Amino acid sequence: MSEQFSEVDKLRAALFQSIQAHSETSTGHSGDIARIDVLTRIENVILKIIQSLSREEAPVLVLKNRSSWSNVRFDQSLGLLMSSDATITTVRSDCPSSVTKFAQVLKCLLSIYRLVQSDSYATKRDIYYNDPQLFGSQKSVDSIVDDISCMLKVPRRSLHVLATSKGFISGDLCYLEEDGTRVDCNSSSTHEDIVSSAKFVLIIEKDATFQRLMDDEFCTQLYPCIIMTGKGVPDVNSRLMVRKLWDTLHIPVFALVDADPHGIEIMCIYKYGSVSMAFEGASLTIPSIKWLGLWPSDIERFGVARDALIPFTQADEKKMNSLRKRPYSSCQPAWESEMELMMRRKCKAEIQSLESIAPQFLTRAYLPNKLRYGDWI
Amino acid sequence: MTSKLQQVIRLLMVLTRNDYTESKRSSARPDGRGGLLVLRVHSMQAVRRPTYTVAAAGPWCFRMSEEHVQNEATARLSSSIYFCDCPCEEDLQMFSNIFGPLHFVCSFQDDQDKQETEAATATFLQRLSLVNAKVTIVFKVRDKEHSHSQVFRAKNRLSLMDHAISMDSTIFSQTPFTMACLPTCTRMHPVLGERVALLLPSEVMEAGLCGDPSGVPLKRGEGATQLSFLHSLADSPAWAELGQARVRHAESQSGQGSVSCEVEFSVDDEDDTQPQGRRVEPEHTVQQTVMLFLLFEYRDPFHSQLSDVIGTVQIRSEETLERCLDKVLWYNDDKVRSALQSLLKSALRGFLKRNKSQERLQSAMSVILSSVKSIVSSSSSVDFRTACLTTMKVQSSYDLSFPLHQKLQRVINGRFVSRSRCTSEKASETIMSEWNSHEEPENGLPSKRTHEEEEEEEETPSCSKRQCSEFTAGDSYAFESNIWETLDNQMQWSQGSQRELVDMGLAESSTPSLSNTELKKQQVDREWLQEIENLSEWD
Repeated sequence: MSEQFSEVDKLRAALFQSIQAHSETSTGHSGDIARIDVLTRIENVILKIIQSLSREEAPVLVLKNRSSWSNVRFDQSLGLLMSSDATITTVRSDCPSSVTKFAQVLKCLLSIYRLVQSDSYATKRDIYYNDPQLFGSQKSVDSIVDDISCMLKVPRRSLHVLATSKGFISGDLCYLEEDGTRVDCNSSSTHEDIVSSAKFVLIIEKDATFQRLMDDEFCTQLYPCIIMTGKGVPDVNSRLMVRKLWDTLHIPVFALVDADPHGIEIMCIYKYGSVSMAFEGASLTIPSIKWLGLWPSDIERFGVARDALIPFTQADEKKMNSLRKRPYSSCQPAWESEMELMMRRKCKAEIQSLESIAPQFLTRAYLPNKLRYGDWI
Repeated sequence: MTSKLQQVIRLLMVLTRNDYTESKRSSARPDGRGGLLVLRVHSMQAVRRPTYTVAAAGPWCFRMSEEHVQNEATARLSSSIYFCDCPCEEDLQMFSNIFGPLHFVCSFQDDQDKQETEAATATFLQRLSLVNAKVTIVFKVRDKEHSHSQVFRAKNRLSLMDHAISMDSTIFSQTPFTMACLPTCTRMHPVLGERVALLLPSEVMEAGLCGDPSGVPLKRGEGATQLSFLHSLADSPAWAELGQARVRHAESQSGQGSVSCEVEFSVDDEDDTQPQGRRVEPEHTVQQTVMLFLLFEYRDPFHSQLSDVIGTVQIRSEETLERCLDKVLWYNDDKVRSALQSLLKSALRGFLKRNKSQERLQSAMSVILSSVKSIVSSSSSVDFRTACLTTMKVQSSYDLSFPLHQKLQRVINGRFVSRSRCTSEKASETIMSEWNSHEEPENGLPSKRTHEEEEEEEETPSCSKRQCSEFTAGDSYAFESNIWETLDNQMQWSQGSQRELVDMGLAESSTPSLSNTELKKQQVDREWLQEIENLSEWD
């Protein structure tokens, strides 16, 4: 069994050395902001509004533009971060086209203020239902909460606003919840006092693949390990969870995604972060993530049946071109050559295509051999 | 108003229309300008039978010999009209001096000698001038004691359905609902609607509706059926969608020198019912009036080929349409209402947009104020609360609401600054229909024609506040000669400028090899003269 994880252990040792060399702290991100600080920042916003009104000037809110690539910079050790000179959007209170957004932001600020003041928590859905007519849609609330987080320079979790649970986690992991409940993973909530002897964490792109591994008792077969999925594009909680595991356990984190542009992008979000959350980037990224599979070169290497392959669509080409222009694309030459191979062949494959080789090929042969022989990039 | 006069004018319009149609086919379209004189002379004799003379001059009307006019009149008008000579040749002469040779003269005796006939005639002629805005209409009344005249002429025009529609807002200024205390918008902004094909009820078809329209406005005669369809529009629930509350109608009343409409509607000001402090309406509200023109066109391809028959038939057809208009409208109830709704929505687009913006601002305002106040009230930070209260100059957070509300309201109101004048941008065109490609349907009665870009230059960017007509109650020859002098002077300006242009044209043709300097000078002169001609239109 020790041979099974010899390469993984070597990687872990190398990563640990790297951490010490770069003086990464165990909580390499901005820690939670104190509640009083959050309240003060909100009060400053309100005071500015009142001061504007006293001068009979229209109050405005200044929000950083979180959707433009030109507003982010790339740091190899931290991932995507928001630029200090990012472009801004001004939300005016006297303009018919923006006054509704102004009101929505203030309504959210009030909800957050009350939550922080009472040290209670609510989901974004709860905020939406405070005034569905004002907000119009859940998407609107989601965006505004992130805008407020960026505006106040406060992590989202410090606003006491939670996302609805999306990700799953399983494996050799126990943790203690705030109320003292001990959770043995076979939940997504706030977590402390993480205990685990896992050798590695495996991030899985799709829920279907996660369930497949569960059904094939992968965690038992390759005990001790932790597998998790964000069920596609990960939400902040899922990213936070993985980051927490890395910060606490310092064990290798591998990604198992489809050999297609979408899968690669999801893996990049875990590794480097996203444009919209770049303002919190350092606390959500895991730059040490390794790509375990499925590689485009694995298709030929393992003899995946041709009819299991899917031709590229126009959207795939567009996505791939966009990925290749990202600031981090040149950091991983091995990833880049795999992407070039995919582009040349103009076809993609899902993890499920490995079943065309043999049933349970994924869990009985592919993954164990990849881990045994250090076949990751 | 005497029906005989209406018949004669209708005859003139029919003949002119036929001529226009012919010239349109041959691409020789007439200018459309000129004059129309309606002279009413009360007899000096014991039997008081007024005499009417209708005369037309200018390129707008059909050129006919007197004998031909007589023949046409005899053939197409009712036998109850007694033709005679014009009793005031000098008036005809003065008219001709100003507007050019007379193309049409018809004098006849009328048997109605009532004071109100004169007023009704004036109203009719004013209405006629609305849809024949290029023609200067002079109505002159003479009796043994005095005489007086009225001139109906539009300065601003819009071309629609081969008619020049007057766009002078001042003649519409007096309505029963005019609030004299409020400033009125002086511009008329045409918004064109869609063309609606109407079906004719069977009894109207049987009554015989054919030929081409003359362009004489339809008028309900005395005792005619009320236009119940138009009245019913006041109760339409669609007004709510247009942001109008409590629409009511009244019978039109002809104000002095103003145009009477068939039906007039008013809307109550919604803001009066709102609680205090909710209004965002700026301080200086500008009253707006929407004038709705329904233009009817009917064609019967079968009968339109029979030109010999058509004159009499056309006149009869229009009379039939007058009588049956209400029935036709009710028969096409849904279609007409839908078209009106759509048109009014376009016309009120700016108003509705402004209303929506104000609603949005008001709604957001309450959320903003309540959020701010709640945070201040619930804060445990003394410094923060003190700073807020001091800034707003209040003692406690309880007193914060009113000044916050006031300040924010003032900030928002500052975004809506009303203007007493409109901008100089062109009025927006709305729905473009398939008029040009659309075949006239059988029995179809399109109510409005959408206008392409042609002849838009006739729309002027601003509208004079001056009354465009009216010299009333003058009673001396000296005064009335002023009418002709005034008209003469105005016409001489334009004729003079035209003469000079012609002269220059001749000069140009006789000296073909003018130098560049000369050419440039002539160009400048032409432009200067054009400016003067334009000025003369404006007085």
